[in-house]
Amino acid sequence: MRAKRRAKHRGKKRRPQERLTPELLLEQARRNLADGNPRKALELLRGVPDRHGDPGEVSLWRFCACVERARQLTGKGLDKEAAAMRERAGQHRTAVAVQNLAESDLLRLLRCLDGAEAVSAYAEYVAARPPLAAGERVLADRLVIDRCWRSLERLAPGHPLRRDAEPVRRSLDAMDRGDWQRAAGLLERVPRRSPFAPWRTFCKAMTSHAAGDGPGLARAAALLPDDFVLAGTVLELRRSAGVGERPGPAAIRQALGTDGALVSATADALRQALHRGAAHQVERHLVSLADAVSPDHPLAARIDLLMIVAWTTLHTPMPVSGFFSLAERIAPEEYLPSVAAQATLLLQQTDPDEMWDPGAAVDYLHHLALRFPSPSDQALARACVLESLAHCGVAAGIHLHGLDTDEMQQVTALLGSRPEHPDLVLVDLMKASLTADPQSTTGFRFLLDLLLRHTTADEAYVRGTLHELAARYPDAPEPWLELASLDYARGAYRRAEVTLGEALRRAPYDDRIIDLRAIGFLKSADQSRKRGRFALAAQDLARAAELRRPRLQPIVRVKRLLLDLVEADAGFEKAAAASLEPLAPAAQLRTLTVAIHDLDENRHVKNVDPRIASALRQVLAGAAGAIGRLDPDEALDLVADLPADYRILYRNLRVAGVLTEWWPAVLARLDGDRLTACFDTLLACGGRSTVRGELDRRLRGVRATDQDPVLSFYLAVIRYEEREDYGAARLLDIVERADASGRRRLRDAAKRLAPVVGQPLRRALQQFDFASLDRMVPSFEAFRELIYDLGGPEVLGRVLGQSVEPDLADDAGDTEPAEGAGQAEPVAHVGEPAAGPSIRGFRAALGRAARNGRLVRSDQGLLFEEDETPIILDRLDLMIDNAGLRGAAPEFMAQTVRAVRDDGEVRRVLDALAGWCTDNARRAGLSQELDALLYPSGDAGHAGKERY
Amino acid sequence: MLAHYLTLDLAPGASQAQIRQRYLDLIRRHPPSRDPARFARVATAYEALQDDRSRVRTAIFGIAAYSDWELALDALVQARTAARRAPGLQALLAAEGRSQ
Repeated sequence: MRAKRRAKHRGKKRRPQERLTPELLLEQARRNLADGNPRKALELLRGVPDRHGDPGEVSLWRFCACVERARQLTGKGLDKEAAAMRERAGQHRTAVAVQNLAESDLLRLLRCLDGAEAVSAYAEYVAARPPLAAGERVLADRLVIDRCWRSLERLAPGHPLRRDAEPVRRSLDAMDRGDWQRAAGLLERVPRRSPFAPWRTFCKAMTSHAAGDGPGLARAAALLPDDFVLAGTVLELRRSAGVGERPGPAAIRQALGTDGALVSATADALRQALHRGAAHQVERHLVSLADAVSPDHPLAARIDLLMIVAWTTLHTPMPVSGFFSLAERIAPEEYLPSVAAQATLLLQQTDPDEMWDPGAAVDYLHHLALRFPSPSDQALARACVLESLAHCGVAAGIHLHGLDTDEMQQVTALLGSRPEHPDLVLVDLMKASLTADPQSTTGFRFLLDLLLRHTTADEAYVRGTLHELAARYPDAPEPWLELASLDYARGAYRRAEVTLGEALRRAPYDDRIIDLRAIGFLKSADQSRKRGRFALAAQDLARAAELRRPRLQPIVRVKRLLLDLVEADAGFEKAAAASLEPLAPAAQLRTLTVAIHDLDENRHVKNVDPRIASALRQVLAGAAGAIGRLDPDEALDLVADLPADYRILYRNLRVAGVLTEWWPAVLARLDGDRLTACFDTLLACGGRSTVRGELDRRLRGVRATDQDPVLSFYLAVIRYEEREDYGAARLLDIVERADASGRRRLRDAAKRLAPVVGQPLRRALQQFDFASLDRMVPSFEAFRELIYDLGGPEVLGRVLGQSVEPDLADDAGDTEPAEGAGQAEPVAHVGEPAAGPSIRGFRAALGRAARNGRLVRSDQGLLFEEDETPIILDRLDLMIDNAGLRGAAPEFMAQTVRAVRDDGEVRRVLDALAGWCTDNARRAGLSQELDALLYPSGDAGHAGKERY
Repeated sequence: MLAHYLTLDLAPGASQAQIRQRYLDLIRRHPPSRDPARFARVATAYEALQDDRSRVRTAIFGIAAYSDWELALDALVQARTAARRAPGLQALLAAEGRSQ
């Protein structure tokens, strides 16, 4: 019984190889070795008797299996085991009789040996057998990989491998650098039949690949042998050239940069996740895309993609808090403040109406060394950020409105000292920018432009700055030109002539300087005419005419006409008609228009006779019939604004207002781009109803599909502005229907229309994103407030860990963002009055209050420290007073509460406070207004209080 | 912005000399008559990186040069998919699992 059990046990333990014949074992071992399983092959070979088959055959297979297994072990870091395996391989190698090997077995042996041993084995083989071309190709591969050139001495001196080795050796350095073109050049001397010829072909293939030369790559890749040592690369090169179907391994595709389809697919997945606001999926796809886009520099790719995600928070449901959480997880901790600040700077650039935020610039510049290690780059970055801030300041109207206290502190931090002239803070920023980057021509010109905008602010400071610029850039005529403009504007003609002389000395043929000189004479003539010194005025007009500036002839003509009329003293109509008679109808109309504009601007001047303006209007009415005969260019010129450099002569450069009653006649002469240009001029002059009438006339009865998309777009914008068609549908439909060129025209039209419409349409036009009109978009304001409510970007990394992440708390956020998440700025709806600045102030004050309290995390979300909560409630009451909401009408209060609570972040703070009041029985003590704010649904517990 | 470096097939830390040399190489290989789209991309990339000032500005505000975020994303992807790399022999051997 026991013996039976033992026998049974033995039978169970018998390995399969013990039951197979030696032939089958050998066959299976070969198969396993070919499949990359040397361990199994070795196990199978153990069952084959040493003397089975041809002499040395079993040893050869054992040797090959040991070598492959040693390679595997080395790859796993098991060096000791690999060394032992190599030792075993060496024992089997000695039993292999190379001269007796079949050709295929020799090739296998050569592939398993290292370079020098392979050459020795082949030398031994060719001593008794004819040369084997395939074997020599294998040796060529081994030599290139292992670089064991000395071993070639074992071959005969004339052997092809020895003969052609030298150019290959010299080309290796270029191959290692990836300079395949140079390598191919060095291998030109290698004959086609040489064992190294595939390397020459491979270099050519790589050169064609890098150059994007498809046909060249196809030719070279097709010539490469299938058993070339870089087989995976050959497969991928053939596939990318269209001469093969099998792709190479992923690592090869990535190395060659041929994994474009994968990159595109990942980008599409990221795009869709962003459109859904699915923060978790965004993170996954962003990381994959960054790694795929730039495997060598994934951080650079991640930061770029994070900037794109920050941008999407303005246009998609992607929540702002989601962006910060994402940044925290995928950017290194030390980069976080810099990334947050850069995102804010970027949003300033993309959202030009809500963008003034010196705080972001302070933060970014504080962490500059991390992004720009070189001091020279740091200086350039500082200049760039300050210049950008100054540009944003102009767009935000800072030069008109000034700064609040916080902004002043931030600007002081940027400049290193408090600005002396708060209304000239943009000039100071640009001066600091130019100090950091003195060679910036754009900065220099922008500073000049800023100085022009500030000529009425503090002339002494402006002059001082211009003199500083003149000293810093001694060859530049512009500072002198601007100084001369200031002198002319002040009527200091002699000083202006001297200053202009300085400009002329630097640029004698500069048209701007000569034009300014002529304009200076015209200004002087104006002054003399208004003072009754007609002879002097005539003299200055003559001087202006002598300069022969063709561009200025029309304005000289206007001034000449006005002088003639003033001198006539009566019979103005006759005098005007006589003066205008030699002119063509278009010139007559333009001269009359500008002359009437001139008189309108100077009607306060004592010596300007109002009868002259009346007379000119009558002449214009008589001549207006010619408008119907003007060619389109003349019609457009008639209403065009005066050139910018006429600002010395006129405060207002828009003259179209003079022709209000003839606008329809002008429009009737125009078509295409001229028509839209005229629309732009008229809209800027308050001519919306005229433009609307013209659009209605042109589009009436035309099918929507046949309408010019740009005209339809203008009409849709006007209808939106007039609250007639409040919504994005019509605008989206027009954009949707337009083809690519139509969309380009619509984008241009949107940029032109943005300045003449109100919010939120202005922002939608600036960003060409009309879907935002129908959804609550998180505004830049909310973005900024969130950063500072959380303690500022500099402590972002620390605070983010404590912040509430409603959108990331569970996976539901991936498909449906939490209610209110990312919603911020209240957008007025049809029939509702706009929220107005008081609500914005209220929200900002709430943000500041939140900053003053310490934030802690709780199950309910954001909360203040318990002992500070009553103080916060008092502050909220104070804010209600400051915002003028105390005792407000119920309807207005209800609207205010809705608008304030529209912002998800604010709503969470208020709900947390309400929860605290309920828990601590404080609700009864709240004011009526504060109660409405904290408990908008107005449920039980408020007996005696009138609900809003 | 990385897209411009990818278009020129350079690492983000490339020197001005390398940027110029690569630009000249690429426009020689892709003249506007033969490959106008590629030429335009290369020219745009070089314009964004052509001197230290442009390079620094591009690093900070490069994304804002696009009119919307989807175009910025497209540019990055397009630059990557158009960037055919020429890795060195050792990198190829490593990718093949045949390190020296």
